[in-house]
Amino acid sequence: MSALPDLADRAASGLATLDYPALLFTFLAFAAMVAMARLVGLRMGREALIAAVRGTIQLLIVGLVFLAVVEEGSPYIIGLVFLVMVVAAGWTATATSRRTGLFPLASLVITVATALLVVPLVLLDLFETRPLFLIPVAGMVIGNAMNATALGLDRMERELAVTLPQTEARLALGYPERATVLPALRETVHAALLPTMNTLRTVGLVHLPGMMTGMLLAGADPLFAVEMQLVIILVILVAAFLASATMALVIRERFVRDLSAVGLDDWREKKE
Amino acid sequence: MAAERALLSVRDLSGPRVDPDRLRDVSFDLPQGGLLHVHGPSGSGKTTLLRLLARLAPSASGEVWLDGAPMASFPAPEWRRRVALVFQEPSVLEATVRDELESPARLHGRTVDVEALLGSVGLDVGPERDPSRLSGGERKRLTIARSLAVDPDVVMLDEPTSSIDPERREEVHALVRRLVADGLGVLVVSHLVEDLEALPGPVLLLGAGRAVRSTTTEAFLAEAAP
Repeated sequence: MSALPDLADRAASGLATLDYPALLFTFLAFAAMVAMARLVGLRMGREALIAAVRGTIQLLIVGLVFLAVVEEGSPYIIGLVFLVMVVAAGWTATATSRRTGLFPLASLVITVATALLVVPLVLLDLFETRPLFLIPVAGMVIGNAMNATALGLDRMERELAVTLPQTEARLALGYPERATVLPALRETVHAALLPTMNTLRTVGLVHLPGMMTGMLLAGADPLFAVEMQLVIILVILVAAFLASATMALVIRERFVRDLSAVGLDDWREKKE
Repeated sequence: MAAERALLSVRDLSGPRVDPDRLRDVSFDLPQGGLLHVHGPSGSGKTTLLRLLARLAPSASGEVWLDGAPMASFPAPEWRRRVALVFQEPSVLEATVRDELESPARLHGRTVDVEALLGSVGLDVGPERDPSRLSGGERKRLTIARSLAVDPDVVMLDEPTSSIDPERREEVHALVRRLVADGLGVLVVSHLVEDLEALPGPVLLLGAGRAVRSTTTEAFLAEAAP
């Protein structure tokens, strides 16, 4: 992995080139939003401030990481960046689940779903292997796979709880156990893909996605920017499918295991 | 009338595994062409018993035999088809009345005469009707018909007449008598004295998860009378 002196120079001199008046303007706009929210009785000052500070710190860290990556280009640092990404994604995706032991599994699912799609595109020479390019691209796929994993997990548990009477009725009619939860599985994958499907439907009409905007702002050929964006959206959709379907299947296996091992009491709708 | 060979044999059944005190050491025999009432106050373990027998929850201990073969020797779906549970709350699975009956039958490689099956439970609705639009009582009878569509050996009815108008209950009673006459084993869980009166036979009395005693509908009703 070779360092890229021109980019490194630019990054190192980055602080000097920051547009401070523009940054100040955006922070003022943010403060105005908090003030206006207060006018309608929405006290989000503290929450918004924490989110803004947190976002700033995270972005600063990412900037520093990129600086290191660009300067060093060390495969270890790049590997570490990916590791942090998938671990954080797996943790976030499973944080709200009642079921245990899903965190490492979710990280693995997200890693495999991302690698299955990104690696071939690198091998096909569509994506450059420069870390400055690879990390944000993989980050987009990992982020969407994370959301699909969380949605798949949450939705499958909820579908199974809501449709338990129907599932038990099918069981009692002698349906094969895995077949009894097929409707829940279908509903789950459909729901997990909906956000990405909506993006795909409205791309260009409603919003110009971030990556394409970035490429256009950087002066890239618009058609190349379109091609890259199309590839990314489709890759994100497929990764989301793989991640949500795998998580739903994992939950189905737990359900089937519980049916014969301990019964389904734990899968009933919780009345709180 | 009942042949003496036990179709369903239950010995010292306790469960479910996660809470074995919900039902303790229950034993009984249900012969081919036999009827057994399971009676008791709420919380006495009636529904737990049915769920254990339907393999919807694992038992803690005890043995259950169907036609001389232990429960564990059957694949669970095959057991559930042969020992059919009709839930107290009817649930709709398909978009038409016809599919409700044909889908489970097809799954087991059977064909059913939809009209005849509907007639057998006294249900006078078109096969293309949407089952979710039927009345509670009609849905209940449809789920009984659905269980019969998979050709069970034992039918377990949880409160079979609870959501059915009093004047239509006799149709369910007549159906139970016909199933018994056809050689099926029928287990009826009901809190309605009317069901005990209409369907004479042995009664297993449950209380606080234990079999209090075995009696008959006749003796039980005589005791209960003021």
